[in-house]
Amino acid sequence: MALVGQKAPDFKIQAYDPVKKAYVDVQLSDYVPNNEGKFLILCFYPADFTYV
Amino acid sequence: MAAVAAKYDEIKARGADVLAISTDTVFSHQIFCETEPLIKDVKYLLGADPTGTVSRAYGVYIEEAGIARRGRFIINPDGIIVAEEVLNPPVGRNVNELLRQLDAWKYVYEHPDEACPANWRPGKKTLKPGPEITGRVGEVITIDEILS
Repeated sequence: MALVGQKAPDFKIQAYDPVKKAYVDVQLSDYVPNNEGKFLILCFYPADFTYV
Repeated sequence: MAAVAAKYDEIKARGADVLAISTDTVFSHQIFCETEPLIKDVKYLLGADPTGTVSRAYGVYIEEAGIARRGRFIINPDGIIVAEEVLNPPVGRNVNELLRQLDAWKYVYEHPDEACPANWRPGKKTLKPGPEITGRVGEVITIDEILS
């Protein structure tokens, strides 16, 4: 089902920060909604070590 | 992934951030970042969704495989999903199209009474939807202008 036009589903997960080389918690509200007018590009991909 | 990582500065310059998510763990993400030359310069977070909860919520989880499809969601500053592109695993995305759409979505966010026609890029003509142009869009913009 297309989610276009809907509020992005919330989440809170662990993430790897390659700049700080650290494991961190991340949630949707770290990015949006925000007052700075910033967009979020959320990219899912099948697996690490895959090819495209 | 590698293409988005390479264009991250251009994405940031457009006032957007990136979060990548797969069903791998943070430990896998770490070693992936450390070993794969194509993403050694990645600067955004790699989220871990080993339970598939987030992938399911966004409709990209492949139950039989336990992994996520390639899904790219553009979420506006209000938290609304304005665009999504979902591909099966063996074909990658076009990051230039992502940049083009980001330009367009930013433009209409800042100019809510305007619309960006097909193939729009910054500097090209926009439309002001309304009764004045209904049924005569072709008098306001030509197909050559759209395709240029």
